[in-house]
Amino acid sequence: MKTNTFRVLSLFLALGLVLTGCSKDPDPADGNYGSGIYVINEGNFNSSNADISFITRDGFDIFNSIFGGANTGLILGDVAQSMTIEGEKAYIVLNNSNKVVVANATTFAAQSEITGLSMPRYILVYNGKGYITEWTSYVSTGKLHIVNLSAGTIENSVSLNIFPEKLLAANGKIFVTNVGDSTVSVINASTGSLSATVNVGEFPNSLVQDGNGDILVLCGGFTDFGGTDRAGKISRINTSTLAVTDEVVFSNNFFHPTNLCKAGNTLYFGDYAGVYAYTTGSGTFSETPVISRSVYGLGVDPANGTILVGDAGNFTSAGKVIRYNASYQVLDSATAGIGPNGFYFRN
Amino acid sequence: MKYILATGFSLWMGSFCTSSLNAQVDSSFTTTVDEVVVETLRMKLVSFLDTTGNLHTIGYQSLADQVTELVPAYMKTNSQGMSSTISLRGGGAERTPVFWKGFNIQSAMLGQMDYSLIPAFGFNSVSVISGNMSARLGSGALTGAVQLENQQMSAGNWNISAGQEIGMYGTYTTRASVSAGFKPTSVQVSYQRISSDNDFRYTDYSTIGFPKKRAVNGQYVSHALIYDQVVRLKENHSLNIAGWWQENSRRIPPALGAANVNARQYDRNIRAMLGYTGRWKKWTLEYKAAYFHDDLNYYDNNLADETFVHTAQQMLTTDIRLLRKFSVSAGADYQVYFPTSKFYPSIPVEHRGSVFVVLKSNLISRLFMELDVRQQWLSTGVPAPVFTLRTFSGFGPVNRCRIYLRAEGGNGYRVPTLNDRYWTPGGNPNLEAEQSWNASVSAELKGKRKYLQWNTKAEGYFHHIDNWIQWIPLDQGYWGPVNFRKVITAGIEISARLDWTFSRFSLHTSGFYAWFYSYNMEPGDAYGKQIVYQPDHQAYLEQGLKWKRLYVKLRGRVTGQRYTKADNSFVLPAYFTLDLSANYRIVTRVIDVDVFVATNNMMDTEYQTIQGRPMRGFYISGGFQLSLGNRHFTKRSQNQ
Repeated sequence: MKTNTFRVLSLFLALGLVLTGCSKDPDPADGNYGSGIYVINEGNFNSSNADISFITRDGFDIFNSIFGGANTGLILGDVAQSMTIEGEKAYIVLNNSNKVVVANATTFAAQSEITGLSMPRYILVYNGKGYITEWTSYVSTGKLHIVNLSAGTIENSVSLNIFPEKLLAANGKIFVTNVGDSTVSVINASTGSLSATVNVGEFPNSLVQDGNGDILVLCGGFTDFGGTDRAGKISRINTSTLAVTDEVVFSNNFFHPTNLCKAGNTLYFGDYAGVYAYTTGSGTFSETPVISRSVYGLGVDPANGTILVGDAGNFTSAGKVIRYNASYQVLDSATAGIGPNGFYFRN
Repeated sequence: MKYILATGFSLWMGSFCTSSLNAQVDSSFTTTVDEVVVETLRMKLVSFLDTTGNLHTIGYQSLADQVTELVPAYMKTNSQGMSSTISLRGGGAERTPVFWKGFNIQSAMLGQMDYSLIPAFGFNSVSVISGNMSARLGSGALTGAVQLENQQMSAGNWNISAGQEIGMYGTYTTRASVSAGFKPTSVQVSYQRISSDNDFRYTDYSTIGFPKKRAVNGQYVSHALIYDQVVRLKENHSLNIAGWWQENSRRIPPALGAANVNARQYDRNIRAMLGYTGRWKKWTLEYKAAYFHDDLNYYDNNLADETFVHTAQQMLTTDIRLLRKFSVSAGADYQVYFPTSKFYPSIPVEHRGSVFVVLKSNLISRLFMELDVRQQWLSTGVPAPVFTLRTFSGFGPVNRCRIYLRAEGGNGYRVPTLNDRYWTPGGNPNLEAEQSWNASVSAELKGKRKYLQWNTKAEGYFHHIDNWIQWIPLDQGYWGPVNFRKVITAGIEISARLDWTFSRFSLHTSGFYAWFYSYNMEPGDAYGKQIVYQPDHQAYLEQGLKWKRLYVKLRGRVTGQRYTKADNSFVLPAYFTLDLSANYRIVTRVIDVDVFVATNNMMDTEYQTIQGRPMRGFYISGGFQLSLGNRHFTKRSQNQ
């Protein structure tokens, strides 16, 4: 009996090895996308020319218009604001189409749409639910929609402050920056209700969680076209007490960075002049860019720590994606779509 | 021979490389038919217009549609009834100004003219001029210009007309016109109202499954009243009083795949002009003063932009005939702008002026020459002077054929718009005027047999535009205009027309083909690429048939692919459209009735002229027009 059991197990093991050996990673050349870098090309406003590009990590080979290529004749939508992938589904937020397009994450074949939104911005998938921020309008407060991803319907909506933007889950809570004022909204993920509003710096536009579990919020500061700008800052929020425990205030009133990302203890953010680095806890910050290149999209690949910059150029031509190493040396570059505003890194 | 040359030259000069059209059904202007036909024939020498004159247009076509029948112009529009601009020879709408009574009526803010706001019905002469006309007409006419004119009735003639057209998608057009000529004065008043639900069906390529949908938020209504009067003070001295009031309310449909934000636009234009013309033995003097008030108000769920500009203008021109074969025209114009906008926190009053001289000569046998020179001044700067030299020769008849040759060269300019300089944020007060150099040559052959007339023309052109003004994202994080692009454009335009008339049957075939090439010299991804929204090929073919009082017209148009991005990474595919229309005139002793039916886009072609803006598919409309004039009473008295 033992022998038979051993033989059966050996047979299954051998079969498994054979099958594993025969399987291949998805091949982008065949329209199958897997591990790599996804570029969100927002397109021109009111032109519905948004699309997604895929870049391989190894050769930095770029495959543009992967949504258009997988869905002949189908327009993705107007202004692709962001994208996330959960399991085998890609969720692409179309800001000026008021919808989220759901596509197969390997082939990018369109599957369904989440509608009923108004100026949606970012999506987070947490505990099987979708959390979508929306501005609602330019003249009102925004919302966070909690979505049943299986049904593609909105289960619950939470009114937030002005222009809810990027969001992040930590310690059982959803943290949402309100880029139209000076607050971060905190939603209890269990109840789906607003539990607190934390005051940070002016115009918080992005956030990350550091190694201590704290939330770091990049506040861009106040931009006034008349010349009375005010400086931004980085605020640290304790996810348990929701207290702001630390702040780094920028010295230049006209410095308005966005796109906060992190690689270990180093924070990166950018503006029209380049990419800036700040080591958490150092207490000092230099407003000299470590990478001098206009930043429209910024990301740090968690797989290898390389820095990706999306340069939208003048929006009248395709944008560029440039990859830098941790020493800020250019490794690769590629031509993407119109207005590369962000990245999704898939392992 | 002299007569031929002089005639040819005057025709050529009068409408230099122009095409002209009778901008309406025109059966209403029966008593001006002679004038119209004369004008048409006159222009035909260079533009191959329909010799049937008053039947040139069937149905109530828009001005933009009519212009694109005549010359290789590219019309960009969001949709029917929505903002429409026309570009000649790749210059874009900013470089193709529109003139009314000699004044540039482009929006001072945008530097463009919305053709959907021009009531074609109100003008019975429209000239389309391809090529650089800066030295003659002023700022902006780098690649072409459009001129709107009215022709007054001669004394003793009058006409009243009214008509109605009904089309698909709840489209209604109402028109009425009164024209009368008396000994001391002549007057013409036209009114037009157009409204439409504009909810045409289109394929939604932004939704999975490509469902057919009806366009939303596309309704529009517009009213226009045009008044034109000439008062003869005494022999060779006259006053011209003209006014143009227009109000448009329209909703703007969302782009394909974009959300409906209930965008809507209200425009109001008031234009008034007073002119004096005096003629003496060897010189003429013309003085015009005009006032424009332009409102441009845009609203949607998130924005409310209200802008208006008052413009006062004056123009003084004199023509002096120095010798029998030499004449001089000289003049000056002056404009002052008072703009107000929510997005202009503080904008100075802008003054502009220019002086110009036109020298005409036929001192050399068979060679006519013209030199235009203009110098512009602005309160914000002084662009370089511009000039254009034109030469013209005519030969024939040889074997009943005549040939005309011409060549021109010069430079042009376009000053920045108010938005370019003062928009907040982004306006750039330090922008320099665009500068261009151009050259063109053409040859035209026309001939005539007993029942047959033909006409063919070929023209090649070249433009180099420097300091091209382009809005781009700035380092400050918002968009603004900069001088940066150098563009070279070149092209060939070939047109032909054949008319065959036998008894009460006539047939005409006309058309054109245009090839366009451009080279972007700005370093970067766009270097060496074709400029955006300019078809590389265009072709148009029109077949008209007239039998007794029935006129049928078939039109086909091919528009080549157009790039929508400077690096040519996005392209709109080529398309073909076909239109068929018919008009039957019922002539009675008391009134003439024109009954017409017109179809557009018979093959239901799906196409876009602007990326993401689907155009209307198959469309049919029908209507009638009643005309009553002194001609009927003359007939009656003759019959009696």
